[in-house]
Amino acid sequence: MRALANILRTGVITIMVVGTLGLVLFGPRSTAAVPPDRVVVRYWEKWTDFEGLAMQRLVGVFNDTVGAERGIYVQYESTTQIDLKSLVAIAGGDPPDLIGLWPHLIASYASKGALTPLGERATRANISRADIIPVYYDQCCYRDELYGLPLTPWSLALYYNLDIFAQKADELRAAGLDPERAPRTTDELLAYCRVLTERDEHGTLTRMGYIPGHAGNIGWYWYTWPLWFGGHLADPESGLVVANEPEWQASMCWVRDFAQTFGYDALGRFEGSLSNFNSPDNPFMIGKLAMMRQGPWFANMIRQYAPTLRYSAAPIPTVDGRPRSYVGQDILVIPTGARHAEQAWEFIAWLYTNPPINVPSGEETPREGYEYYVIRTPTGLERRPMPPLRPIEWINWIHYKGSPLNEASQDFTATHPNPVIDVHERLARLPDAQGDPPLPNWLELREAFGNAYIDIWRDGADPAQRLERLQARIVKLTDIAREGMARYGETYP
Amino acid sequence: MNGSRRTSSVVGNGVATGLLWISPWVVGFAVFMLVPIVMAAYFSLCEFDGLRRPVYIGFDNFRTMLSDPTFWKVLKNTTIYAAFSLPLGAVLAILFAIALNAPIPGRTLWRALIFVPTLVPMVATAMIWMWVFNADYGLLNAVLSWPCSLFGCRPPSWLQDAHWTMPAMIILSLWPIGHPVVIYLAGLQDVPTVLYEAARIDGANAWQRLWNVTLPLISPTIFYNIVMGIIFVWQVFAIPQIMLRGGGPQQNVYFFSMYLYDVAFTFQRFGYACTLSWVQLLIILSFTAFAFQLSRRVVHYQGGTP
Amino acid sequence: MTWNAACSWLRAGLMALVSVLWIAPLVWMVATSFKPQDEVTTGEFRLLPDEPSRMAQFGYENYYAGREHFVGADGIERAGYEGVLTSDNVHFILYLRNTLIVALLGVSGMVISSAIAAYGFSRVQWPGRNTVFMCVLATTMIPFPAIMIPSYFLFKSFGWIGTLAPLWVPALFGNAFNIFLLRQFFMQIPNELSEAARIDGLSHWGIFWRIILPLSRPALVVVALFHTMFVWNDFLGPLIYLNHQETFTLALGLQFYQAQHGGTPWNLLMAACTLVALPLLVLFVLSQRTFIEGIASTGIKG
Repeated sequence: MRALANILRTGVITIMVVGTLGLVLFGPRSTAAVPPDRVVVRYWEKWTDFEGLAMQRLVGVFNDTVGAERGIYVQYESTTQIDLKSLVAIAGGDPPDLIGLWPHLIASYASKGALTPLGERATRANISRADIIPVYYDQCCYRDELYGLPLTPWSLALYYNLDIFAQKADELRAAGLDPERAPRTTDELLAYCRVLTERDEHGTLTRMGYIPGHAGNIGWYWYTWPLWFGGHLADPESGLVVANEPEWQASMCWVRDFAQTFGYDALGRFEGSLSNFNSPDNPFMIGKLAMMRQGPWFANMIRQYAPTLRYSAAPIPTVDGRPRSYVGQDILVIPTGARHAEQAWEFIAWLYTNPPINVPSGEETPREGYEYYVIRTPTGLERRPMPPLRPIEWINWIHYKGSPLNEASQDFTATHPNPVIDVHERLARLPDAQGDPPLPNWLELREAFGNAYIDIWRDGADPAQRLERLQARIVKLTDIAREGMARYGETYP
Repeated sequence: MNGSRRTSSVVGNGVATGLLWISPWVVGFAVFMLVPIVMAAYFSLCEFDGLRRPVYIGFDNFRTMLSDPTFWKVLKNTTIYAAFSLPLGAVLAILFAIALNAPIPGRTLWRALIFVPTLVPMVATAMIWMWVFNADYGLLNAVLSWPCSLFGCRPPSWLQDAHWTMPAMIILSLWPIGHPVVIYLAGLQDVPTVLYEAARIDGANAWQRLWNVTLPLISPTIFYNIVMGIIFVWQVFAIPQIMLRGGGPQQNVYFFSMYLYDVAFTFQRFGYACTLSWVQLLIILSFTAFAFQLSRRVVHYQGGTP
Repeated sequence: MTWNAACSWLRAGLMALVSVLWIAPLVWMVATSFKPQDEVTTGEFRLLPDEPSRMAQFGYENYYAGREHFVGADGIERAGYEGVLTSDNVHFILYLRNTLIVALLGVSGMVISSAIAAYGFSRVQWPGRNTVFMCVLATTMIPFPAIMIPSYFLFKSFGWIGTLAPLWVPALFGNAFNIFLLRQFFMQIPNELSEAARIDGLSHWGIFWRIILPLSRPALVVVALFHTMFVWNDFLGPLIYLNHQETFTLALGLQFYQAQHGGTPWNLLMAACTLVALPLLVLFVLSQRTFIEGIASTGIKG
């Protein structure tokens, strides 16, 4: 018995030692095979899953065509927490060549000299502001210099569940509301919500019409609230964040009233019971939430996880019913210190200037968006061959997003798979569309706002007082940033 | 240390020889600890964004810190966490050690099983417990649902409810208790059984024997564990960072090292982050010094002071 | 006597209960990794999948084969999940290799350097030795977060950011805790041995190499195990020093995997956790006694 145990022990140790040495000496050294004699452009992107796969295939087309001609190989590296990793890598002197970044980081990075200016290159490649939807182009700029180009832009809309609206049609009508459309004003939103919300026998909330939600949890884009009440995230004149404006107060009062209407405790429990956003258990898809504030990717997710769900999208309810818009995007930038900035730019330029292409899925079964697209005809759904698209349009098509181009191509619009894309497109083109303010310390200000928001949403803090306190904090943080920038001879904002 | 044992000399001694032998460590310490600490001291007096060169600003960062509500919040959170997890962990570990020290059936097995969780890497621990704490499908709530239904309440949403995140972290801190348990066990084995017999003859009951014999005799071990606990607890990072990045609802489990990391790598204020790191160092040093001070009165060393 | 026996059985029962409680999360982890995705979130508490006979198949899918992106009957491409080891986005074998490199280089340096310093603190007599040793011990109080930012810029000036070097080079110089541990052990080796060797004409180095090290094998193994555990555990270091996937360690790779897909399904995540934890658990089973005695020897006397 003991001898057997000893033999076993020796065996396992031998296997571990041999395995360790074998792996260290002969194990894999890199994540992908790179063809020889090519300049490798390391491209960091946040997408995984079907979104990442699509980008990888687009990169593959570049590598096989223009890349092969010019000796460039773009290597797609999916990177989580890209905002954190990017700065660490740039500061450490070991950056990638190309990063898909968010607009709220452009000011912060550019002000520190972490990004390569691209204005001159863009002019040489004949890409100008006139080609791109202005709000998206402007988000790529800091102090009149261009630091990136839009990759996949989007605007926020209100997604609503048609089945729940139909099911509650009579009650909605009884309350004087129209079950055929989404609420347009914030007052209507609350009224719809009262009707659509359901509780079980213990008084526990089982379904809600809408929920402002916790910052960082279900409350996506909670910091956009002032915008829907006609306010500005940053004052257009001074460029500063002014949190005690009446519109900010009105929005936080609405959030407070909402929480009081349904009860802090009940809402907390309800929020706690909501599942992972990016899953088949998404509360909207299983009917726990009748309305949600989301971007066009949400239609793609619904198609993935709940293809039979009936839904539509509308502008987000505002205080006066006039549509307003919040936009964001993924931006391709070249960090300072990138070893192959020129080759990275070639890829960005290719996305915008290459003639329309087809992207093969490389699989046996034809796939939507690669080999064919689906169109609704009187006889049902029909598959037609996918028309060639410019690379920048194809990636947005496959991501269910609108085109960043001022004039989207005929084929793009005619074949677009997102049933609610027109709502998003209309919103993106509103003249007063807002994005994140181009402030180097916006993240810190947003976090301070987040703390105030949670105090109001969760603990019933008085909005006016809390926002005064927030404003004092914002002034303080702004002073710190201003002093910091002054030390490098710069002005804030 | 270990003053009772004398090590006599061999030939070829002297300061030069001694320093030569410890020189690898001295070089490593100088380069990888001393230099960074001095650098941190300098950066803490600077505006520094990691990309451009640091600019000297005097004590502005310290002033900023005093009026920074998040700094006070993380200080409070970390103190609460330490105040619960350290004593709870100590009491539980001592109880387990005492139970496992007695000759009970299957002792080796129980000891091994309690020890195994300390081997699980922290990143994996964080994920396993995210799954265990899951409000709807987690192991913990599956177990709790029965007693909860008796009282007509529902098990908590551990990681989503601001009231429960801190208790969740404290519970989790007890999981790798095997490490201190093993150390306490070793300490218990050093307690001469004669003393127990003597106490028994004197008519001391189990409680008195624990209080008057066991605890004083293992007090150096308790002290060692508490000091290590203080050092460790102020650095807690990986588990809360992975489970509840940014401190979860209402930032109730936003701990010092997490904030330090965010200030540096999220907000790119490396100068201010170095200020915070110096404060962290000072806090740990003063708590440890306090523990040493206290130990003079409470800790009982066999055969004199160390 | 019977009273005592009953008492000890009662205690054993209690400890058994506690042990089960403590090990339950790990059992739950392994059980989850052998379930299909849709059974993980049913809300019913079950250890085994609905069809226990298919456990092997589910396990195989979660760990190895999995399902690629697939086209449903409606012609829509859906995200399937590949097994942990075969996924396109993560490369656990590569991460394992990196971790092993860091561990091997670090462990060998750590053991030798700590032993040399410990020898200097125990077998060489020199004035001021104990004072210096107290200083060494005091350095265990310096928390890594406190020096992580300047270290980052220090390593940047060495050109080490994005490489594995920051994770193993510092280990080549030993560390205070391990020096303490080895010193304790060296001091227990009788002086007569080194005295005799001295007479035979051995230098300090000879004594260290021929006498002290061979006699200290258990302690050296403990230091090696500790450092391996540290490397397996370290998260903050890799998080700030490593930028590219081909240099990731297991801890960082696991976190990277978890953050993917906006939250990786639990069955796959638990499979990954099992894989990452497994090597250390096997190591423990192999060297249980050394492990436990090693830890026990660290903290007996303050």
